[in-house]
Amino acid sequence: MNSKKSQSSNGQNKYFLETSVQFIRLFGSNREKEIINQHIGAAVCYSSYFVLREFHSLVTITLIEYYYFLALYPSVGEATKEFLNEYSFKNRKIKSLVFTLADELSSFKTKEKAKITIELYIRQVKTRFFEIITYMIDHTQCPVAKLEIPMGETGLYSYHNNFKCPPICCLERFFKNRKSKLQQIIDIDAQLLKQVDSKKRDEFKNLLDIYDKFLNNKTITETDYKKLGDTIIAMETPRTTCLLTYDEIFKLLCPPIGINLQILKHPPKTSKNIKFNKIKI
Amino acid sequence: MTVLPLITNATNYQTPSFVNVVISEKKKDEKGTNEDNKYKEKVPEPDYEEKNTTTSLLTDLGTFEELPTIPEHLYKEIKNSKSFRKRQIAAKLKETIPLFDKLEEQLNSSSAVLTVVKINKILEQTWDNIGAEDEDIALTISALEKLISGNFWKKFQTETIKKIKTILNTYINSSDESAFEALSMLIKDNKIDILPQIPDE
Repeated sequence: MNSKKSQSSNGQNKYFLETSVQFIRLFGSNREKEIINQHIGAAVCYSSYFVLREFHSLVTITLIEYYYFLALYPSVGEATKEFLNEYSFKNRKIKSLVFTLADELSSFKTKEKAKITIELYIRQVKTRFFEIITYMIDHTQCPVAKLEIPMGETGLYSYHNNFKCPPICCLERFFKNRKSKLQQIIDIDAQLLKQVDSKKRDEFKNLLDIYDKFLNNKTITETDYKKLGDTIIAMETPRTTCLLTYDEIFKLLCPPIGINLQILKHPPKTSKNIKFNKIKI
Repeated sequence: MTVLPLITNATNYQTPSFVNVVISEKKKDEKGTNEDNKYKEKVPEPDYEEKNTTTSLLTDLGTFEELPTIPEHLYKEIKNSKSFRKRQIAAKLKETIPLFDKLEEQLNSSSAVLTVVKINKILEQTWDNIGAEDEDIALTISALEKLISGNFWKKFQTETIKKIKTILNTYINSSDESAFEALSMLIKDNKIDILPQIPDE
C-alpha cells in the first residue's frame, strides 16, 4: 500500500476495483483468482458504474452476441464457428473466455440448452460483480450502466440495443468539471514515463492529444471518448482508496492526480499451449 | 382465442396413463372427497329413465379401452402446452429425490461420485421436455445442473443438500416459478463458482 490514506479508521485497506480486476476475479484461472483474493483479503471494496458499464460492454454484450448466433444458426457447432469467424477479439482475456465457453457449449446436444447456459451466466455475472463491493461510485451518472437485464430472448436483444448508446452525454459533463485534472496529467513528471514500456507510452501520447482537444474546446469524436475509459476510472477513484488494476497505463494516470495505485501481476505462464483445441465444430 | 383455456382444462385428459391415475384414485376412495360431495349436491338426481339411458349409453360405448381417443391435433396442442411440459419435468425431477437422500448419506465417501453422475443423468433427460418458451423452467434446470455438476458436491454440506431437496419438492408439487431465484440464492450463499473459468496458460 502506498499510503495510509487508503486505509479506513480501523486499519482496513480500501481498494477501488478496476475492470480488469473484476474480470479476472470472475473468469480468471484458479491461480489468478487466488492472488486477487489473497490481495483483497478483508479490504473494503469500491467500484463504479462506469467500471460496470465497461464490464458489461466487455462480458455481457459479448455473451449476448454469442446468444444471437445460437439463435440464428441451426446447431451449436455452426453458431460457434460463425461467431468466432465474425469477431476479432481485441481483448486477449475476452477471447480466452469465448474459447472456454465455446468448448463447454460444444458438448451440448441442443442449442436451446446452450442459449440457456449463456443466459444463466449473464444473470450470474451481474450478481458476482457486486458480491464484494461495498460502495459504488457514480460520477459519470451514465444511465446505461444501470439498465436492468431482462429475461428471455426479446429482453436480451432490447438490452443489447439500448447499450449501443455512446456515453458522450455523460462524459461531456464529467470532463467539463475536471479540466484541471487533465492538465495535471499532461504535466506528468517525465521520470514516470520511463516506468512503462513503449506501447503504453504511445497509448499515453494518444491520450494527451485528446486531453488537448478538451482543453482547447476542439471537437471530441466518439472514438476519442472510447479511449478515455482509463482516464475516467483514474479520476473516479476516491483519494481515500487504492486503485487495484492489471493495466500499467494507470502508472501514468494516477500519480499526477494523487491517486494511490497497486498493479497486480499475472502469474507466470505454465505452458505455451493454451488448452483450446478441444472445440468440436 | 378460446383455445388456450380449453387446453388448460383439457390437460386432465391429456394421456391415457394420466386418465388411468385419476380413475384408480377415485376407486380407492368410494365415498369421494368433500369436493366431490359438494359437486354431487349441485347436480340434480336424474330420474329413473335418465339413469337407464346413461347405463345403456355406457354399454353402447363398450369398455374404457374402446373409448374414442383425443383428436391428434388437440393432443399435439396439449403436448406443446407449458403446463403439460412442466408436469413432465416435475415427474422427472421427482426421480432425483431418493438420489439426493443417498447423496446426503454418502457425502464424504467416494460412492457419492456415482450418485452425482446419476442425478446429472436425470437432469440431462429433463432437457428433452423443455420447450423453446420455457425460459423460467430451463433456467431452473440449468442452475440445478451447474449447482451439482463437476466437483461442487464436495463442497456441499448436508444443510445445502437439504435446501436443494426443499426447493425441488416445492417445484415438483407446485411448479413454483421462484425455484430459479431460490437456487440462485443457494449458489450465492455457498459461494459456488458456476462461471466458465479460463484455463491456466
